[in-house]
Amino acid sequence: MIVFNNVTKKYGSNIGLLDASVHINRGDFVFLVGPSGAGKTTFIKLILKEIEPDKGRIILAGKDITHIGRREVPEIRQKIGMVFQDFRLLEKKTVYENVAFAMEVLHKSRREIKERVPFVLDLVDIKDKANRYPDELSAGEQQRVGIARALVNKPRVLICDEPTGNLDPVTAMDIMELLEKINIRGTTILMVTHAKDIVNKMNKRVVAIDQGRIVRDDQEGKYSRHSAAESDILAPGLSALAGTGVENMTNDERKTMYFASPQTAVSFADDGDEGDVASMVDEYLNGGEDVYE
Amino acid sequence: MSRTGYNLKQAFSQMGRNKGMYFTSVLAITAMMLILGLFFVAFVNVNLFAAMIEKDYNVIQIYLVDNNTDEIAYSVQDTLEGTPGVDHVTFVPKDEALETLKVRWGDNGYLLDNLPKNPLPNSFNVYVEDKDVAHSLAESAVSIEGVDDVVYYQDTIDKLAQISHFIEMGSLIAMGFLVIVSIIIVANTIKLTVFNREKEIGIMKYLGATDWFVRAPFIWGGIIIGMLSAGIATGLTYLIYNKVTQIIGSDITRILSVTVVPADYLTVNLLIIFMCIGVSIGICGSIISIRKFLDR
Repeated sequence: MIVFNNVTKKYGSNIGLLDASVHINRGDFVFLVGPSGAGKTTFIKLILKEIEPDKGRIILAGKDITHIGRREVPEIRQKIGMVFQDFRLLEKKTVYENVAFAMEVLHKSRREIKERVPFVLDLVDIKDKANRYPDELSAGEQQRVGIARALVNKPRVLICDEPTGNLDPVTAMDIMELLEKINIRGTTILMVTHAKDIVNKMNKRVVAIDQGRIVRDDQEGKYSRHSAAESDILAPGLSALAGTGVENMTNDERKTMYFASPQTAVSFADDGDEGDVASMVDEYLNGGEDVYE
Repeated sequence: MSRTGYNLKQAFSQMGRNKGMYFTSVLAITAMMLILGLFFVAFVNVNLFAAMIEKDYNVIQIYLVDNNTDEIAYSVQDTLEGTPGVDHVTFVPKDEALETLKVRWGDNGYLLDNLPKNPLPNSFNVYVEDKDVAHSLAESAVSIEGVDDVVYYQDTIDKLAQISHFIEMGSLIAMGFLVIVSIIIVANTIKLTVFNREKEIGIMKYLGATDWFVRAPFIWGGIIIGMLSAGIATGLTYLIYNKVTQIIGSDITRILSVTVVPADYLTVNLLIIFMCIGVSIGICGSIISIRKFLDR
């Protein structure tokens, strides 16, 4: 579905992407991970034809889009659904209108819009709020609308740029479940994320970029190279969880608490030695501090 | 809904959101078109005067002494016809000259009725082959026996042509200047609308909207500004011109023996010209204003 063959993109002397080769198949669910400035955005911009590569070849849905004319760009983008971290909904339009807008832009008929929009709203489980405005919705609901808008024109690929970045962990997992459901229905998903917990939990393909290079491409991968031996130790702030006995909890118990009380939770990773981490957490907690990764 | 219908709906919705700015634009462009319109009516009328005078007086009029005998008149005709460069000569009896004058004065022709005596003399119209012959003949004809006066309007025609040319150039310069200013005004108005819809445009582009789909409502917005301004400016020009011709039109007719261009006729042409200019200004202004956003 998406093929990058030895693609290089430089911004002056800065490297955006260097000799990157990736093959994303139809129906894949791929996480694109890496630190800030690693080249993830360049990767997405190249697919969306916002920028041109310096070298290499890019193929989308069987079409070579490496050097296409400006007039062909809309046609390429119509094959892609885009989901943003900040949702990018139009405040003066209702949920229904926001989603219908995506079809109006492509000159779809009223009849098609009337049929398709309720179906997609139902799919993302937001149909009951079709007449609400974005500011009347929670962040998770707004993201559902964003996903509905991205899906309404039946794209081949859904590109999600940090879709859970503005969501609490519980809502983020709901959104991930929704994306998985969409993926199962056949839509290829490429998701850029920094959410280590989500990546580790989903067990999907992980493509890692660092300094413009593809450094890892694992099926059922984890967020980082050592993730297999990694434990997510969750250490809620002492002030919020004083008296809960968190210092005596096992990692699994702490994870449970993490999801039960996400707004106060913090996390960090260790090298796999549970004892070391537990004592480190204790030390911080006893010092009256919250622990962040 | 058709694409045009959708685009127009969007354009009117944009206008509704930026009423003040659109109103100011229409006002400014109307003012500019009004100036242009006044130049235009002046130009058309001077051109018409020049053309009429040139048409009437591409001949030399030789007025005869009032009590000439027929022999003298024939002798004058023979002399004129024998002059090298003269194409032909026609005799204009004094009664016919009076009738012609009455027709030319139009509604004011009645003023020539009931005169105790026809004040116009008999005359010859001498048609010459070129301008140089006309000039020398005009000078020599005065000395022919039986000739009272020679009227040759070349100087007047030349002066009128100069004035006409001056107004034409002035109109063109003013038009160029005003059109550029109008385009800038429209571009800024539309740019403000584009700023308001920047997020929407960004989303549209991600959704795969073509550049023309994004542009269309803004272009319609520009066209509406242009058309409204054209309509108002034409109306105002008509009112002013109509008033002016009512006040001094008859004086012009009496003094110059020509009628001014009727306001109704001029207005229709002016409306067509203004609509073309207005629509062009609207299209140019809106395309300029949105270009940068589409390149992003």
